[in-house]
Amino acid sequence: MHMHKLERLWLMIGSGALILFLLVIGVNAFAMGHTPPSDSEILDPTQVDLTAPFDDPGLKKIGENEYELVLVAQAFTFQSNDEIKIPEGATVHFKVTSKDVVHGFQIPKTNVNMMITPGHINTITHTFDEAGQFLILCNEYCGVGHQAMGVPLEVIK
Amino acid sequence: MGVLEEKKETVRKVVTTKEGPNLKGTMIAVMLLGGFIVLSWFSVYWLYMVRL
Repeated sequence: MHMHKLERLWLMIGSGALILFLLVIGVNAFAMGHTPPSDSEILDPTQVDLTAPFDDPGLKKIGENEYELVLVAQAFTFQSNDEIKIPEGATVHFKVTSKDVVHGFQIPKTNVNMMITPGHINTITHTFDEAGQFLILCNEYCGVGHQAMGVPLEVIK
Repeated sequence: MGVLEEKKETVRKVVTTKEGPNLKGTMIAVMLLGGFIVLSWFSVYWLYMVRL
């Protein structure tokens, strides 16, 4: 097929870049488990307080250096029955739902950044390699108290 | 009257090959944009990897 040589070159570079991008994130997702946060599990948003594990939100150790942190988002806090203190190097599985509106869930300086949608169980996993004080912030406008919605998370040595 | 003479004129067509559009400038512009896109992509990817 006849095409201008520059057009051919442009097509090759363009599709080459696309294939490279897709390969990189494909390997990341399928081989290394770096996937987006999940919201596939559903629950009744009016029954959150009665549905496990959200009837007792908090930090639970589930393995050697592995924790599950269950939180309930509602205007304007992330409810937990425990102080969030985790040892350095621990892996935390966040499990969050909302009782009212859509909230955000972000821990700055990490890749933890997801939406908390009522009717869904939103999950993400992160390994805290460095000790320090972190903040779980709401980054989705949820009402008059949105700017104050955040809870501390401490990673201790 | 006179016989109408058909005049046949052979008109010789001069065939000229038209030059295609000059795409060098377009290519440079598009490659600069592509470079910016690739640079942005890897910058964000690096940020992601560093925050893991």
